[in-house]
Amino acid sequence: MRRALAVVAFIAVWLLVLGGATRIPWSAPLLSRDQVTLNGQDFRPVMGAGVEDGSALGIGAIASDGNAMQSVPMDRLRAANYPLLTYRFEDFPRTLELLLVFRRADTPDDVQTVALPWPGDGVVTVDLHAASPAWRGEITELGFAEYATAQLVPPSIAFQPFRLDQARLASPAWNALPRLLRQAWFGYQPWSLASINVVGASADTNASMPATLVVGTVLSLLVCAFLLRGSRRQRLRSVVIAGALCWVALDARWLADLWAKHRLTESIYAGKSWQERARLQPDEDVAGFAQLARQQLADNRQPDRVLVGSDSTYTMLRLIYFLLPLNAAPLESAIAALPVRDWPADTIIVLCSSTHWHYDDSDATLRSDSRSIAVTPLFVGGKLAVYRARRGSR
Amino acid sequence: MNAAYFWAWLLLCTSGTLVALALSTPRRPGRVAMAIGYGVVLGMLAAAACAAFAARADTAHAWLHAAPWLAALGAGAAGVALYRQHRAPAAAPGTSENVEYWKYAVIAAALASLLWRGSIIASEVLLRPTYPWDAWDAWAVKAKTWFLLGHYVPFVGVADWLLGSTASLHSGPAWAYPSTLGWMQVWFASAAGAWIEQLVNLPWFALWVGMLFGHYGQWRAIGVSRAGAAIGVYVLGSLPLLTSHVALAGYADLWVATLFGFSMLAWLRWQERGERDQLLLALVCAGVLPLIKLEGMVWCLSLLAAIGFGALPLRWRLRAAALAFAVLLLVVLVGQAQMLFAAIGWVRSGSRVVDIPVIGKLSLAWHGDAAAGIVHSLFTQSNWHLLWWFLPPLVAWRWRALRASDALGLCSLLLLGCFGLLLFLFVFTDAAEWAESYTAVNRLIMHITPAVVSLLVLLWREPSARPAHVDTVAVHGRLHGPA
Repeated sequence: MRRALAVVAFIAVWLLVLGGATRIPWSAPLLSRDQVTLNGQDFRPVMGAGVEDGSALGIGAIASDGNAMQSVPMDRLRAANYPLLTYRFEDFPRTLELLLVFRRADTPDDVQTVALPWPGDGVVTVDLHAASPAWRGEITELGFAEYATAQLVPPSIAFQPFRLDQARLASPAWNALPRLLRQAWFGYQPWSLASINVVGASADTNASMPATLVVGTVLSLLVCAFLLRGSRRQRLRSVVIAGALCWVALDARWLADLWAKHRLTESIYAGKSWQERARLQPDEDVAGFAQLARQQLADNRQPDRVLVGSDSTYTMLRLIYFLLPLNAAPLESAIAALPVRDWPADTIIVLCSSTHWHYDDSDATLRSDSRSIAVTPLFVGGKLAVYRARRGSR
Repeated sequence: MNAAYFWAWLLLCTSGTLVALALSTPRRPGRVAMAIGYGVVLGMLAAAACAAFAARADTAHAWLHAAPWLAALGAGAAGVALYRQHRAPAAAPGTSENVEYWKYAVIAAALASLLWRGSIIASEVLLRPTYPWDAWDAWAVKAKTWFLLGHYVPFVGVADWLLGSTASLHSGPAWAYPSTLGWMQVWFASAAGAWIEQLVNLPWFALWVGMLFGHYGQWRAIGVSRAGAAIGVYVLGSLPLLTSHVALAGYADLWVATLFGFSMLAWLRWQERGERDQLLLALVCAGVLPLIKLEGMVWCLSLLAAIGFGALPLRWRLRAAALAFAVLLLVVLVGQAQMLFAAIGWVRSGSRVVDIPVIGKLSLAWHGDAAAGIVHSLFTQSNWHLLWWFLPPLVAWRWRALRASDALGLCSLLLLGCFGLLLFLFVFTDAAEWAESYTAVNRLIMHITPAVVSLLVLLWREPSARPAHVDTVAVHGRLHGPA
């Protein structure tokens, strides 16, 4: 009798803990009361190209900026009633990242976005209410956007054709519990620049697997200790075994995630020479700018000093790294360190994707909000410009 | 990969292992594992030192210029190791451990998981170009510049760089960072014959392997059973953030974590077993920390303070602790103070500001969000599995054992002090934003994590495995005469 009670209590504890972790309301039914199903063919390509493929939408090309997007108008759907999004893609490449895009009736000119877990070939369910505070009000348009995983995948090799099969919005229900937990705990997350600081997404509002396991295990042990009344030694052994099992479960999850991350790396770099791997940079545009700047400078006298500027700190620092061993440093640091008039003559300035600085042709001067530098243009083309500083700057 | 790259690895591993053998007492359990672990890590750092010393004029062939010096170091260490081996008393008959078959199965599964993990992260390092931000922005800049230029150039601040009369000076955002890892990368790039980032980053994988071997060897030498040490290695090797720092090679934090853990273990072994060579090893590992990363100076001074404190007779310890507390209280009450710290310089504190040269000027204020961020980092994120959940109950459970062991108690105090420093930094200063944004908080906590794992493993150690009557005071007496 006690054992049967313990089993019932054990199940109740874990339902309580797992349900709490996924934030499913206790009043929710077993099956969703309301749902809206959108087949792939309901979506229209907004960026990139796609064709109907049965009930699905086949995405065969991306736009020139490397993105693809498909959307469908919605009839003022109340977001609060439909927090659960389930979606299914086929052959979705590991190299792409997926976004949910939507418009709300209260801000029709703004496009809201929510990063979605990589769909793979399976069905994925996420809680939009937990994933983004923007999921509220009335939804007037819904869609998906795809692009090369930022700062990880070279855009030139990221795209492969895939199919959008189906998306479904649903009201909260207990039958979503396993899918929500599977996604929150075992969903693939690609490496990011933040991965060196925190494992997983730092802003992740999903259920914490370590905390959930600890709470569930402690409650289970307490229930078992109360109902089964073993010896002190048996209880101690149970605690040790339960702790070890929790650790192994977390480690198995981490190993699976590590393996998934590595499969992406393999898909990009495996079987290639060192030179090819060096060329396949996630920011191949910046590497290209560095190559171009190097060529322009090679036509002139080897510069003593190169100052690099960009609106993006990442782009500026990457450009400096790609330019090595050229004697390069950040432009803004130089401006902060020393008045421009004291700079050595013939300093080279490389600007990349910079809207902060403007070249004034009338007096051959580079101007920002508060500075001006007398320069001689050496190369200006697209997002890259190379100048040689002259005396007479302020 | 070419033959030179292979020989460069072989030379540094051999020399490093011989140095570690020379610095360890012969015929101790785990000696080979300890020598391999410490040896690989110290070998890489010795290669960096030799390259910095001998290859400034020709960095393209740095490893060829540095190799004779490293070989000489290895040969000298081999002589010392052989001499010590020859003079060592015969080994006492070993006691066989009775390990149940199911424990063998558990250990085999744990080690298999480490092997699989190791194969994944080694492949990751060998495939991907340098990826994380500071790896290319800070740590690899000097190495890439020196290697591609073919000679050494000094890095200076931007103002000095602009005012310099020639182009022989270079600059960059991380110009003031220590150059040790840069020289190590020059060693490997020159052996590879080109700037191949994957081969330049491979030392991070060797560091991980060395860390696991070194900890296993030291745990065995301090009395942990084979099964206990193997499980400890699994726990350490399975920590996700440590694994990430290998897979995304290029940051200095794993080096700091490994050397801090190595230093604390060698110090603990000196205290428990009275092996003087371990004290030297602990001092070497602590002394290298500031040469790896600026923050390493803080950990180095913490270790040195702990070693000095532990070497005091008991009655002096109380006085020293009371004195330190009184000084701290005075600083808090007065509100302003200046203290000169060795190797750091003047640390100045005002009513709401503290200026620490290696860190910078920090405003003092309570940051509740940062405290929440730390709790989140330790207990709910996936960085550490359940390490920080297990620590408090295990310490409570083994409290008597902790109090009974002077060495373990001192190590606990050291770790508590280091953790307190981190808490102060994140909760009471501007560095709070690093905790709130989850940037540096986990990396700084990682610095003491291998040492925390050591503490857990040693607390778990069977009581019979602890040394009976060797305490620090006795050791101190043997070294310096009667106290």
